[in-house]
Amino acid sequence: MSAPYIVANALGKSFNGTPVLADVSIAVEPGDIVGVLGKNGAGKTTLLELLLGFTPATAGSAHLFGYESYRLPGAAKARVGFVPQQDELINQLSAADQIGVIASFYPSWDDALVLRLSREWEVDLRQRIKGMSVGQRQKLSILLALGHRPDVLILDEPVASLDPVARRQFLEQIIEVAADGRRSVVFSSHIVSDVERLANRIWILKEQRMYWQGDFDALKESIVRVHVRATHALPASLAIPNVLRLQRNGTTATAVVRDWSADLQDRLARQLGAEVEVEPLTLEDIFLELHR
Amino acid sequence: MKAVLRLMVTYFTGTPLLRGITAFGVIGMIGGSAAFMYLPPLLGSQGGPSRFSLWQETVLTMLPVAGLLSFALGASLLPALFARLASSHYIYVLPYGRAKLLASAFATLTLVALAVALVVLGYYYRSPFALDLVFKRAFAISLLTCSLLYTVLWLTGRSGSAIGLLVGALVTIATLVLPIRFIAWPSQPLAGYWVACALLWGAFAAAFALAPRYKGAFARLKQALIGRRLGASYDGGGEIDFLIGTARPWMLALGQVIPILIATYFLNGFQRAMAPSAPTPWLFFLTILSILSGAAASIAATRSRALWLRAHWTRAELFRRVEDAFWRHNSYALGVLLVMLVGVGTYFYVPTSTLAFGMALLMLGTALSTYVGLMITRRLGWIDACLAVAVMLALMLVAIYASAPSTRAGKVVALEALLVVTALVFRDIARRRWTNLDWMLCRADTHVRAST
Repeated sequence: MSAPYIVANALGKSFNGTPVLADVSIAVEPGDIVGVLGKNGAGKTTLLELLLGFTPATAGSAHLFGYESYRLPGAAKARVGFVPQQDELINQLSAADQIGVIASFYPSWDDALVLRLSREWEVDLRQRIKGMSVGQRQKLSILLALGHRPDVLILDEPVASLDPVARRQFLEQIIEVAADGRRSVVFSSHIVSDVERLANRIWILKEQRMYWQGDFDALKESIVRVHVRATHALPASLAIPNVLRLQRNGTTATAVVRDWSADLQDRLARQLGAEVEVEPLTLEDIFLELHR
Repeated sequence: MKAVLRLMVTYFTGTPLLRGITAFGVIGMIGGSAAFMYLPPLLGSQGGPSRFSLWQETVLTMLPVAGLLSFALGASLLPALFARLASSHYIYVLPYGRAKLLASAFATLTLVALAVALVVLGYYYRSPFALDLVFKRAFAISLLTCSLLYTVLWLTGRSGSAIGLLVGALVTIATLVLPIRFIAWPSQPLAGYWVACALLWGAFAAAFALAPRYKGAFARLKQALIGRRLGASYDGGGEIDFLIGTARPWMLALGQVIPILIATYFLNGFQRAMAPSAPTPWLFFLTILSILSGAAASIAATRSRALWLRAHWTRAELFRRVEDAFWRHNSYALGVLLVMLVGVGTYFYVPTSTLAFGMALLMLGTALSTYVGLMITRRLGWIDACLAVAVMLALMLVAIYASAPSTRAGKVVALEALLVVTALVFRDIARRRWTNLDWMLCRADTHVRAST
């Protein structure tokens, strides 16, 4: 197994004593597509910026390709692509000139890929950036991050300004990037369906901490909605382990449970003498349940 | 190397307009210098018959200079592009981004300074002077001047605030005064210039390289030293002043004293014995400052949207209120300039008539730049930009003319009357534009370009 591209241990950041991220430990292996979820202010952008070394950590450590992120050498930077939340393009230039400027910093640049994507995404390379729509600018930002075929692509809410067609094209491209199993993608998004469609690993940040992380399938198996149906009234002190939310109505109860397992299902059925039915949740449902 | 070259090419050719300006500059410099060197005797004054008429000689003589100015202007994307890349996340993820960006800026300025030195060399090619000394002197002075000049563009372009404009004014004065001092004293050794260049670039490079590491500490220091007193809180003035940024007129007004005192030191070291032509640079610098204080009005249209939403005013009434607010704001700065003019003028025995013309000129400078600022209600177009530049040049020319010893008072009065009429016309244009103000066309970056 190859070494992880990104490793963070007990990573934390605080501004003037106010913590904005605390105790985050993660690893990103080659081939991972990680979706980062969290409410506004949960610490998603801070986490991504710490991983890229934009700002020094106030606790713990972050490493990228084995180097401390904050002191990343130039050769390692050539293996990273980044799309910021708001584009940082140069208004005065044409799209082609902007691409030319950014491309010149990298030892290798895939012109054919950029040209193909610009055609597919309908980005007019002759147009001045100042005259582009927000969506066009975002597409161009993504092109700039993909052109040097980075090993690690980090995107901070990359699809927020894109229409559904462009979003789908973008997602297909990300899958293509990670398809060879050598590259990794970490992206944050509020569009949970996109994360569900794309990611094989999920990080959920809540109140500046990593609330849950792991494979997407494991998350779906871990957090479920449980329906309990008994022929008699359920006990007043109905205790379901790791319950996130519980609704009871005489002989029936519905609960959302974390760390669910088949053992727990059997045990609960025996204890209550009731039928226990498990309903898998969509990622959006899981996210909403975690934040109720 | 590839990135440095690409950045340099982009600075000069990033837009179609810059491509044209740069091309003209290169052709003008090379063609003009070649004509100057290989078509002798060009000037009849150098002895021997000239094969050209006077106007042809004038064109040929001025062509390299025009080319040089165009070439330097061609790189005017440097401050904007540098600032944009330096403040973006790209600088963190581009391989060796910070070093390459800095190298490209230094190489561009060196190239411009080299072009200046070569053109100057062309001028002195057939003279008896030692060409290596001419080259060194021209290169040193132009490298420092260009460095300061682009720093002015960067400072004024990145900040629409009074402090940004003040710092810009400070560097503008240095840009104008240092070469004058150098030219005035040609026997002065070059070492001082090289040291100044090294210090300027050393400080800039150190600040740029260490910026990410000490950004937090610098922000805290700035907050402790300046923010609490000047910028971070607001506890006075009306709502209109707060929304359109005219709440602290004293800051700009008192801040002007510093560049004036520095210019005083550089011009004559506070010595009262002055040559007859000495009032000229004085009036010139003070007129520039009066224009600068008025430039703050260019932010008015963008920032007035919040006022429009909150107050039940017509657009015409909004214009009157904003105009009043800016006059209130700028009158503080104008007041300080007038006091400085009278104070400095009295100290240096400047003639009373010059002081009187100067006072009127400062008022006109403030009025004209205020209305030019208020006229900017959408993207800064070519006509507005040319108009603004023409007015600024006119003000400076009148300043030079008014302070000359042989000036006729009637002519100065007539010129100033013409400027009064221009100010009234500008006010009328601004009022009409505000009557049809469209905030969709008022981009936030408009005032930055305008103030630049």
